[in-house]
Amino acid sequence: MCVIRTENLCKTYRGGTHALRGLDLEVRAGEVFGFLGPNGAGKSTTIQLLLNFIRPTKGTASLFGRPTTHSRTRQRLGYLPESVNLHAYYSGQGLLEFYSGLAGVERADRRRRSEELLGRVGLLDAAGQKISQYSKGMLQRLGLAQALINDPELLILDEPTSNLDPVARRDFRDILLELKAAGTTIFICSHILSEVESVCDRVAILQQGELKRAGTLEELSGAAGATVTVKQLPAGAIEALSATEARLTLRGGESTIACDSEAVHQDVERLLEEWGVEVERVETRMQSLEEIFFGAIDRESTS
Amino acid sequence: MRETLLIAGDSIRALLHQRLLVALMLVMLGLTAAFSVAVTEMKESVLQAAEAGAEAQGTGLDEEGLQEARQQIDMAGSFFLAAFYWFAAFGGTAVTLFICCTAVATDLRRGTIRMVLAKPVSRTQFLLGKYCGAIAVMFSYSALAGIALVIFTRSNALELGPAALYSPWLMFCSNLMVGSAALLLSLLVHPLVAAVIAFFASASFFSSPNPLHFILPSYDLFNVSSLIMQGRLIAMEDILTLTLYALDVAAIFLLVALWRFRSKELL
Repeated sequence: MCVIRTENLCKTYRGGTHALRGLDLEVRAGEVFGFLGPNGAGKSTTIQLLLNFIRPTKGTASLFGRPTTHSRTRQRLGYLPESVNLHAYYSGQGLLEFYSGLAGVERADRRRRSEELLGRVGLLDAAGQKISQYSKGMLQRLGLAQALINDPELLILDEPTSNLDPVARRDFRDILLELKAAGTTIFICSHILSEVESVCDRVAILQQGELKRAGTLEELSGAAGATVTVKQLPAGAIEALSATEARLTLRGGESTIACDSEAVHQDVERLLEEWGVEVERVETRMQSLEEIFFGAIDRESTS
Repeated sequence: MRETLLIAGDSIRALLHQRLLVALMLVMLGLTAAFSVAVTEMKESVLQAAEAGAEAQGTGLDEEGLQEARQQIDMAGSFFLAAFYWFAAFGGTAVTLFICCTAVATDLRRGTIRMVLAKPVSRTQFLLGKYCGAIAVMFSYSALAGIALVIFTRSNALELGPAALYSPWLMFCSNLMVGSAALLLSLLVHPLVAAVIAFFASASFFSSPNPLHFILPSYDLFNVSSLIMQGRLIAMEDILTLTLYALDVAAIFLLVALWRFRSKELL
């Protein structure tokens, strides 16, 4: 089942800026979906369209199979924006109780639910403190708590860890992994590629409003080089290999040839075949998300 | 309904946080005290003038002179009562313009509107909640003004004229119209510009041949200052008609505001 679906979604702002050009996207139930792209790629515009903050110029967007204009679809989602703007006159506890009311939590359960979430994000000690006295990191954690107030089936996170220190960032990732294990669908926009790589099942890369690539990391990543191990290497082969970009290491009776790219790997394979060297094993290295990302985007047009 | 009430409660909480209601009470207190001092001084000066007049004629202040002085005091008392009402009504309009022009604009500026509308809250519920919160504050203000009016008349031994009895209600009705106009305009233009337009968008500012005289609502119908001065009474039917008129105008503005807000992009 598709939790998020967009078809030919376009958004042109007043003044003619094309923020989104025909985005087709599907996010399935239970998956963690990373939405990547450089600044101005159209990620935030997509989120704003999904939450019905703005209207598409063309195309459609749906959540849980219903148009995003239905306010009831938001009963099943939680949202954490990049800059968390909260009502500063509440205490942390008061704010969560207010949001839980809006999210449809029964009055009798609001206090319990708020305390539970404050504990989960590590803010129980600051529950009675005014939000105006919270630090940026505390606000971000409170923002996450409000996003989880209705136990959502879909969580939309826009740069969720931008204000967090490394410890809080790790705690945050642990919460995401818990939610993932519980079957929550997570749609996450982030610049921190290592973070996305560690939690996401699928990613989409967007640039200048166009979808460049989408799929699982396995589908998107190609071979990024290899390490070839051989038993015996004739002197002529050593000389020939030294002339390539491969890095040769001779250790006892075993030699390893590290190839940093697939082209170098192919050169090495050809040379070894020419010299009749028997290959012991080949360990292929797959592309990291960072390599996939930079491979997908056109850096000249971004800059 | 629950969402609307929660947002209304939140709006009131935000205004309390700005100490707006406390400031209103202090203004009312200050107004009552200032007018009381003025009335006391006026009474003394009228009596002193009457005594001085009698002394100049070589006679004491007789019953007839005293009666004349009392009449002058009553007339001046009505004037002060009308002026008191006028200031209170003007203050109420200013407060209404402030609350309604900033109701949505502040949330938009701070970005808190996105947090609320990401919850299962429709835009209609949001705007109605904001308006209900504003209504509650407007009603509180009118009630405060009514109490201040009673305190003022009692403390100065003035007679609470017939028109003064229903003046706080008419003040509230007038503010309902001004408030809904301000709310609508704040969705179209800058809140400050919206406040100015909403204040001057009254038929009373345009004379009869001007089409705006017939299109715009008339806030002047609700200003009972002159009736207070004349000690006249409005019939209950007229109060009912004015109430319905205010509700009608407020509903029209509110419906247009809802239509506009539903399609507004929250950038």
